Amino acid sequence: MVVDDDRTMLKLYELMLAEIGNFSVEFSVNGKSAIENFKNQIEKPKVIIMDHRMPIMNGFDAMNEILQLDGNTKIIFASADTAMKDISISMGATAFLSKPFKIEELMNLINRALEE
Amino acid sequence: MEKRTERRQTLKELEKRYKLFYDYAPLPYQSLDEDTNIIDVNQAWLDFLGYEKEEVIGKCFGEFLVLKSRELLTSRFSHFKEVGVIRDVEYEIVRKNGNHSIIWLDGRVEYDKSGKVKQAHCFFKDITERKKAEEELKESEEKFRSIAEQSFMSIYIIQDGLFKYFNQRTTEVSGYSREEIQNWEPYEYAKVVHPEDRDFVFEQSKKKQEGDKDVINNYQYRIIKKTGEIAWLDLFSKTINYMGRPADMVMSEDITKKIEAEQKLKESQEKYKYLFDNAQVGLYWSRVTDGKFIECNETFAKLFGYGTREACLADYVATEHYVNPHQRDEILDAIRTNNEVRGYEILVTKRDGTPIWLSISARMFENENRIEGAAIDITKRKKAEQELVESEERYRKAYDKADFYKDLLAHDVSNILNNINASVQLIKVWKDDYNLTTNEKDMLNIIRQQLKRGASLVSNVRKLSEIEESEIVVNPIDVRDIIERSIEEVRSRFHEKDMEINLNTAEDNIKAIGGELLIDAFENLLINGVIHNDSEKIRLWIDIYKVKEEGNHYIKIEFKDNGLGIIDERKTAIFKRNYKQDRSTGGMGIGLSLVKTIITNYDGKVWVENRLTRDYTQGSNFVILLKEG
Repeated sequence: MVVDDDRTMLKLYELMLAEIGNFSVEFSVNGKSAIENFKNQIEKPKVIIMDHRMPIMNGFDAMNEILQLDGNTKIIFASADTAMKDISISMGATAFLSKPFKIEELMNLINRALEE
Repeated sequence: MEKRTERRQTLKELEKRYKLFYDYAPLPYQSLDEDTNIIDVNQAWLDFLGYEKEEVIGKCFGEFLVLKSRELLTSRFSHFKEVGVIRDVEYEIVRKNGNHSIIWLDGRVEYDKSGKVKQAHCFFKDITERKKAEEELKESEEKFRSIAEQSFMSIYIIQDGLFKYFNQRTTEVSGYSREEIQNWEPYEYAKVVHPEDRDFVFEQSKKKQEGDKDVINNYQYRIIKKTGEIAWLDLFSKTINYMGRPADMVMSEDITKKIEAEQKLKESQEKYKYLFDNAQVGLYWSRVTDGKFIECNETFAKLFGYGTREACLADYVATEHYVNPHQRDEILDAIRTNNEVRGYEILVTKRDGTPIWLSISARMFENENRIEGAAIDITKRKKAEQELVESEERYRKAYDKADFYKDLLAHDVSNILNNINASVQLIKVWKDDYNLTTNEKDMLNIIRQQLKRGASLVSNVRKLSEIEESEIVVNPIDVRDIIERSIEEVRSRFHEKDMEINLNTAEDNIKAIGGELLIDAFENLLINGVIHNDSEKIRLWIDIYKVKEEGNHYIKIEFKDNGLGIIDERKTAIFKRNYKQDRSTGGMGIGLSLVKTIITNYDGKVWVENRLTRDYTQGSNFVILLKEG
């Protein structure tokens, strides 16, 4: 699942993920819809790429709630603000993706998360 | 014989005549023998004492006297018989009805031819009333003396220029002894009067001693005491009849202390009046009931636009000039609650309606229907405060705006850059390099470079914001380690550039006081050396060493490059945070501002020199001094 309020970014994620591998991907535009989406999925997403700054509910709150629903969910926290790195990891994120990033970095983090 | 008979006849005739004289004399008469026995009395005697003649003839005169007088009679009569005459001898006689009277007795002894006492002829007069009057006078005088001597006032009687009587207080006030005053020559007392008052006082005293009625009975004057001190006296005097003649009776009070107190009070009042009149603060008295000003100084009048205090007092009524009419009641309540107000701010209008802010300090005397207070014009201050509030509001808005742009840059622009970055990468994935034309490759490289530049700008803005908004934490930092990480980052970022970076340090473990932001400062300096460099081969040198300056130990780091260099005039300005200026003069963005901010926050110093002293075109040398950790 990819959570980002920027729809262009969501489209780019879709294209990049198609290049990286054969994934089934769900998209949400804010934290609240991500939680709803997560709850509605019978087969829960293995990896979630979570943006921080979003309307209605931010990435921290959404991550916190999703991890309460399923603590095994791997969340890659993505932000241009590197100060978010330590905070997100301490809150339970599997990895931090610093924007702007290379496709290779995205691929490596997803693969590592899936291996875990 | 005939002559003798004739003479005897003449004597008898004389005797008869005298007898008639005694018998009908208006004063009591008695004749006594040599043992004070009564031989004869006249009718006045009998009437006075209330006896019949038969009851008294042959009796001793002493039987009609009180015991004390009887004893006196015995002792005095022997002397009387010897000298033959007595005058005004006083006895206390007892009448038949028991009443006592005081008499004065005159007498003459009649001797026979042999010189032997034949009889004594005596008249007496009743002096009881006179004696009583004398007693009463004496008693009155004693009372007067008693009162006078105890009086706190000087009391004295002057007659013929001499002090006929004076009390003890007179000596105390003047400083002259009783003997000295008593021995003064006539009118010598004038010497005690102060020369400036002497003529007047002397004239008045003399007039009173002469019984002149055109006098002043009460006045104040000065005396010079025996000690030389000046004393003020308040005098009350009038002409009296003393010993049958006019005299000046004086009562005076020493009012020196009172006069001095009055003088001090007057001086104090003058002093306060001066302060009141010349104070730079408006001072006033007003009525509690209607706010009318009772008194004010010129400064106060000018506050309200009046030329004089008189005009202000005549015309201005405070209650009519409150911008907020309720404020007068509020200030009165505040005074009543706290007994006073200090710095109470009110808005009133001047006579011409111009608003004026006043700071009032006042207290109330409600039983006197009076408020006294001070007023200061604080209009300028209030205006300045208002301007400050507006300024703060402007700054707050500007800050909010800056915060908005910073947020815009840090988040939204960052996302845009990120999207472009992802798009470029996808194009590269979809189209191999050999399928791209040279122009397309150049364009993609330009896009990538600009993305890096944009990302760097966003990062620097974010770092600057963090430094401003958070508390800086400092620790001993391994400088070499941070510089190596910075070099690695720069090599990665500019991997396509022909670049050589040399790190020179004599020691491995060099620690400086700093924090995690040092890596941003170092990276910015290295990036600066790369991007402002037109050399075919970019060369960067980093030298680290320890120095001691002014007794302190520092770590000195020099970042040298073979870039474009910086002219002397710009060497200070490039660290200043003026993005517009940097842009207009082809500056270096906010990277160097960030470097300066970070290093300064770590209590360090940063500046730029030419790499080669005399030629800036050979590149720059950015020098950082950090305290050794």
